Parts: sequence; C-alpha cells; structure tokens
Amino acid sequence: MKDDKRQIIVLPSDARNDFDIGFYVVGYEGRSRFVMSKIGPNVKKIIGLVYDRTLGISFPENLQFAEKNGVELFELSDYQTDRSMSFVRYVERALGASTGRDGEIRILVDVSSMDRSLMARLFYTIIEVCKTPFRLRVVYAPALFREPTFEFRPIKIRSPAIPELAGRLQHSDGNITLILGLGYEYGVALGLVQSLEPDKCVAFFPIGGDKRFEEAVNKANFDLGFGEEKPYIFRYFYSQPALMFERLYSLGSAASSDELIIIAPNGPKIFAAMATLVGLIKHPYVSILRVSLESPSERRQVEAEGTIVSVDVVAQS
Amino acid sequence: MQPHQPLFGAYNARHAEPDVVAKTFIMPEKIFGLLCKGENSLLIGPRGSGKTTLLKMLRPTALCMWTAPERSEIFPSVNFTAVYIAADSSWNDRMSLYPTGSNAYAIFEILRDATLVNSAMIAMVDAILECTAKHLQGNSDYERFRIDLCEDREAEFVREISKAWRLGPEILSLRSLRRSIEARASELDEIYFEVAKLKQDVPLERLRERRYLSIPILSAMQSFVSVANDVFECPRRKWAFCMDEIEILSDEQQRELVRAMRSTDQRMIFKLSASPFSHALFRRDDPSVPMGGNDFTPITLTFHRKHEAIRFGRKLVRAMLRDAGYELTEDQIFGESEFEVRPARLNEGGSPYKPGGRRHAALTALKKADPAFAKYLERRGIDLEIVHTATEDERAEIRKLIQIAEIRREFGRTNRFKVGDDERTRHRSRKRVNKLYTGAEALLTIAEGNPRWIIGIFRPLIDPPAPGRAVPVERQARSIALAISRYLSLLSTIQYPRSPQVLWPVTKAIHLVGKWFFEDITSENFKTEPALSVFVDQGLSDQEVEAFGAAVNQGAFVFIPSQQSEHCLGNIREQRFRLTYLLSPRYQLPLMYGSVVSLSRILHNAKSGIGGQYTLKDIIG
Repeated sequence: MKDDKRQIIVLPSDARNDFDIGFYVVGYEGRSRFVMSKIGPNVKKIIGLVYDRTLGISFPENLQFAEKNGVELFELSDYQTDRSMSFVRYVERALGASTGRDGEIRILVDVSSMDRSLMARLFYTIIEVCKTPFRLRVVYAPALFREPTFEFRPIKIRSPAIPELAGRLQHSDGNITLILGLGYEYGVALGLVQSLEPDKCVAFFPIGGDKRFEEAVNKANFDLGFGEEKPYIFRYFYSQPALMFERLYSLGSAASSDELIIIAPNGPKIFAAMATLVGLIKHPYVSILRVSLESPSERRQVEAEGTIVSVDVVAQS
Repeated sequence: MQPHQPLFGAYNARHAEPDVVAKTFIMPEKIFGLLCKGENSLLIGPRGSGKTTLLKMLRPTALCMWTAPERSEIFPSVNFTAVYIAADSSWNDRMSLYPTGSNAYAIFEILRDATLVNSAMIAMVDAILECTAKHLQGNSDYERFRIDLCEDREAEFVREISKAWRLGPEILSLRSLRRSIEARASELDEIYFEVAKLKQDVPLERLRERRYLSIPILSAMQSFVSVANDVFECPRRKWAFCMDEIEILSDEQQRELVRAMRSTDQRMIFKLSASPFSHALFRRDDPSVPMGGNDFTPITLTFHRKHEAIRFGRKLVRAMLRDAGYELTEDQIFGESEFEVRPARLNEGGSPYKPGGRRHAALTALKKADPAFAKYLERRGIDLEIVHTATEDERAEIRKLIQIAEIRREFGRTNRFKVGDDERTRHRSRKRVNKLYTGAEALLTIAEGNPRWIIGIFRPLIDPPAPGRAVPVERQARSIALAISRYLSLLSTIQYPRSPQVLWPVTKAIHLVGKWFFEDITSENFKTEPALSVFVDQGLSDQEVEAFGAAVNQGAFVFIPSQQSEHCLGNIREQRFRLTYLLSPRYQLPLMYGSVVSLSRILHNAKSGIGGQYTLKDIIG
C-alpha cells in the first residue's frame, strides 16, 4: 500500500529484528514489558514512556525491568495536544541522535499498552520529524484472555485522538461514514452509531485468537444487533495488520469529496494503530476518534498471551 | 426478486432528501398545523421525537410533494419560505481537547461561530435554488414559493449578497456563490489545522483581519432577506429560518437565536428545535429572553398522556404495515394488551369483569392473595361480583386500579414466600419482559409516540413481512427487551455524579428511581396513586441536574406539564417528569404516571442497592 504524496508504504515485517530506537509504555499491565523483554536486546536505544507512577499492579516490576535494561524514561504530560511541544522536541532529539545502517533508521514502537492518543501523537511525530528513509515496525502483544467485567463506564470525553486527526469540517448535510473497531467497550459502539448518525457504518470484528475473546466481543455488541442501523460487519484477523491496513485504506480512499470518514478504533490496539496510520496518510479526509471512558472501578492485570504481531511502515522521500 | 426495502427503515431524517421526508411523513395531530403557522415556534423534544422531520417538512419541495389527505387543511396556511439549517457538533469534539480560557480555545470559538454562519449561508443559497427548481415547475402549489430567476436577477442577487457576506464568487451565479461559501469552510479548517499542527496560536489580531469571521448569524440572515426580497421583487416574502438541534450550539449562539424570536422584522420568522434541557435556553435571570405564547409558540413533541402517543403511534405503525404488505390491523397482528382498558368493552356481553371473565379472575385472585387489596375493596364498598353492572363512576375507579392490581398480582408481595426465617420473592427476572407489556396498545404506549422508538420496536416484528400472521407475544417481548437493552446501553454513556469522587453511569441513578417506584407500588399498603413520577427539586446539585437533563434529552424521563409551566423550556428544576414507559417493563411498573416524589429523596436516601459496578449483566443478564 502506498500513498503517493507521502511515500509511506505499509508492509508485512521484514526478516530483520534489529532497531536503532524503540518506544514502549512503562505501564501497569504485565504485558507492557513483554515485547521489550523479547526484542529489547536488539534495540540500540529504548525509550520508556510513563503515564503515571502511581498506577500499581505491575508498574514496580516494569520500572525495575526498564532500569535494569538501561531504558530512558520520559514522563508524559499533555501529549494529546502537546501544546508545550515537550513531546515533539523530545522525540525529535531522540530520533536525531539515531543513525541507521545504510542510511535507513529502524524504529520499533510497541503499541500494546498505549492509549489511542499517545499512539497517534507518537506516529504523527515520527512521520513529521524523522528523516527519510526510515522503517517503523509497529508491534503488538495480544492480551491473555480474561473474562471481561463488561462494566459500564460513562464517556468522559469524545474527541479526535489528537487535534491533527480531527478530519475536515463537514457541511452539516454532508455524508459521514463511520468505521467502528469493535471491542469490549460495552455501549460505546452503539452510542457512537446513535450520536454520530452516520450514513454508512462498517464495523470491524477481530478474530483469530482465543474463541472466548470473540464471544465476549459479540456479547458486548448485542450479537452485532445495532437495531435499524445495520452496519456492514467485516471480520479481520488481528494477526494480519498489513491486510487490516489495506482494508481500512481502501475504505478511506473510496470516500467521495463530500464525505467524511470517521474511524472509532476500539478493540485490539493493533487495529487502532492501523487506523491511525490511515488517518495520518489520508488527512484530512479521515478523522480518528477517541472515546475516553471513566476509569474502571478497579484496574485489572493484563498479561501477554505470548505472541507478537507486527507490521512495517516504510517512509521514503 | 428484490428484497423489500422498507420506506420507514431510517431512524433519522437528517440526511434524507425532502421528497423522501414527504413520502414517509406521518403527521402528528395538531403539531404540524401549529408549526405551519406564520409565527415563531420552538419545537421541544428528545432525540428521535421527529424534530428534524417536522422542520424538513416545511421546505417548499417537501410541502409540494406531500400527498396525505391532511395536507389540504394545512398547506393553505403556509405563508413563508423555509430555510433548513442543521446544527453540527464537530466543533464540540474538537474543542474538548483544549481548556476553556486558553488562547486556542478562544480562536476555535471564533471559528465555530463562523462555521455556523457559513452553514446558514449555504442553507440560504439552497433555499433560493429550491425556489427556482425546474422539477417542480408546473406544480400549482409550488407557485407561492417560486422565484423567477432570470440571468440579470441572479447576477444582481449574487453581487449584492456577496458584498454583505464578504464573499468573492468567481462568476455571478448561485452555484458559484455556493462554491465560494464552501471554500470559506475550507479556509476555516485551514486555520484550525494551523493552530493544531504548528502548536502556535494564530494571533487574534490576524483573525480580526478576516472580517467575515465576525459576521453575526442574524446579520447574515437579515442581509439575505433584504437582498432576496428586493432583487426578486417580493418585498413581503416571509422567510422561516428553521434551525435544528440548537442545544448542540454554544450557549451564546443558542441565546442569540432564541432572542431573535423577539425580532420585529415581519419578513423573518424562526422555527427552532431543541431538546427539553439546556443551560442557555430561556434563563430565568435574563430579561431579554422571549416569552412562550407571546413571542413564539412552544410545541412539545412528547406525549405525557398516553392516548395521544398511541393515536400517533397507530398512524405510523399502520403506514409501516401497509408498506410491508399487511392487510391485518395492528390489533389483529399484535393482539390485545392485558393493560388495555376500553370502556366500551365493559358493556359488551363478554365483559372481562363478569364472573368468569379475564379481569374478574385476576382481580378475585389478587383479592384473595393480597389482604391490602381486599381491605381497599372493602373500604370503598367495591364488590367484584357485580362490578360489571356498576355505574360509570364506579367502573372508572376499577379501570384505574387495573394496572396497579395487575402489577401487584404479577410481581408483588403475593409472590413472596418464606424459607425459614427469610422472605424470598418468586424469581421474575427484570430482564425478561412480562407478557403484560405485549399487545398492540402496550407496545404503542411503550414506544411513547417517538418515531424512532416506534420503528425500532415494530420494524423487527414485521420484518421480514409475513402478512396474514399474528406476531407471538414471546417475539414481542423479545423485541421490547432488546430495545430496552440498547437504550440502557446508550444511556449508560452519560455520567451521573454520585459524589464528587464517584461517577456513575446515569443508568444506575435511573435504576434507583425505577426500584423506588416498584417498591412503592408493591408496598404493604395498596395505593391507588403510587409514586411514579419525580420532581426535580432544589436538593439536587447542578451536576446532578445536568446528568438528569442529559437523560431527559435522550427521552428517559418525560415532562409532565403543570399550571405553572406547560412546556419544558430548557430549565428542568422544579418540574415534574415521569420515567419513560419504555423502561416500565424493566422495572415492572404500570403504564401510568401516578403521584410525585422528590428526585433528591430517591437519589440521596437510597442505599445504592447495586454494587460498585454496573455491568452487562444488569442489562441483559
């Protein structure tokens, strides 16, 4: 897949497993260090992004792992808008200090424990500031299945993932196509369909892993019964992100001039990552929405299931 | 063979063309007639209550293509040309990322206001194009809207309006004018992305250089009316600015539009639509706000009396059945409701109140099992054996009791039994809809006369069409249960501040209300007027009122008018509401509104009753 203007291509990962720089989140989930524990030794410089040091659960072990492996820590603050520009400056400096073999910088980003705004901010910054050519490997560690609580959590904020991904303004009579990533977020998908009132709706249903996961997604989305607004359901293998990207990109490219595509990428983070890339490439015709929910009444441990899903984003001048 | 494409399949008229709106339009009695009068109006109703359809029906094309019999009464009174303007919430999403008071926020406020003015300009140009449409030439009704657009006039109009709106179309045509307004929308977007991407605030002075950014919406409308009426030589033409969903506009924009209803310009009228709750509408401390009844006609789209909702619902369901090829009536297809009370039937030979009749059996059984009911009958001197021969007044009293008696019989204390020292209730899951709520009339009552709900409940029952067949009660119950689950999941995205630290989904608060009502109706004493409505009292914090208001705007509570306030105009404090009948099956409540209780009494005194979490199980089990 290729975008002529930016020369960004998304491909299945190449065979190389060495990187000049890597980004991941030092979070509270057990899985947040999984990828780096496997690939980290092949990464020259690792940057650990820290949301909050008080989140508990596996944070102390994750921090210990980071310190032991020489990870450089960056405390996150206003990354969603980055008005202070602290994030962009930091990433720019870090990337500038990286020199790739054969002139190509190889970057690793583990999205497993990132929220959708951080993922968008990081991708946006890399694409904006990193000298081409570079190869960005997006990796994701699927979570070990745990019966979800299906807890209802009110929506705190509905906004673009980052301001740059707001999508263009639409004439109020213009058409909207909503692309929904389905996950456990109960009530959110239906709420979005009802509040955005799209003309067309396509829902992406993740498959390919634990069957119990599929059942849970089905249950959280009323067995895909959204009432009169019947979305087209597209089942995708989350282990094949390049294909997933291709589908999303095709939908984004098929939009007519008076149409806005809104992607609400719930579900596996790798889906959100591919959606964000489409949003960046198809700017401003595609908007990436983030629905921020109230914090759960109790944070739960999330462990990695043991596999790693990856895809390469190649940028050329 | 082509699968049947239902005409009444769409929930929302927002994107529908006027001819489609006209084809599917089912007129709510009185309401559309009022709206068609040449005066300011405010349509008030929750989501799905048909505000957009009603406003879109005012457009010339829709009125000309409307073929229903009622049209002959209504059409002659239309003495205005409608301009339909849809509000847009995209800026709310964009601005939610920035703190209010920040420079970026201030810039976006300017851009947001300019975007609304831009949308209004496009709508005004579209209205002129509609009045010159070729496909309606020859339609005699269209004559009153028609604008004779010769080339000179078009150029003059475009030249004059471009000056007022600060536009520079490439050529002097309406199409070019429209394109230049669209180009301005792109320019607004460019400024937004400049601020968002460069992380630098565009200096406000630079924005002031772009003078079009400060054109007030009313001024844009006034220029339009003056130029159009002058150039097209129709000095008395009235323009109705139909602004949809004003509650999603900023507070300032809402106030400006509402104040416009005090305008003395006879050429301009305003038809606004709003949800019942809003911060900005009709603030009591604002002396400049217009007065309902004087400056505008308030039109409420919810039906606090169920017979009105049922009447409208029947019209819509009949149209859906006709469209799907059914020849049977809705009563034949969905059957009679257990709650249904038709006075005429009492005089028929097969009165259900006669010994051996259905109601007689139910009431007698309840009398036997429920001492409180027996005591009530004794105190009132009501003899169930002869009630079918009683006077009309006596029968009216019994009719009033039926729903309460049915609820007590089906779910009440008579279903509780002792196990050792414990008292347990025979299990009746709240998630399974009891057959009491099935049957045509109950279904129509539950749908509240809300077109979106009517379509949502009835469409799955008649699709795929099976003309000639009745729909089993089990299937009806499942359709209601699904509609309730979907509705609750939608409501669950609204926050309710249980305390400054704890935020609940508003559904948890609704659960407390429903539970309270249920306890009251099934309490030890038999009450003929159990609490089934709430009063939004001063004991509630502003944040609680906000959450309750958001639920009202989604239709979860229905306004009950009083002598002091006939309509709900933004402020919901000190107003009475009933829980929507759509949720009655969930909380096992009768389809009536009973007496009133303070909302704070329910919310503040209730022990939570439900655990810390509110989960999928609470909704679908």
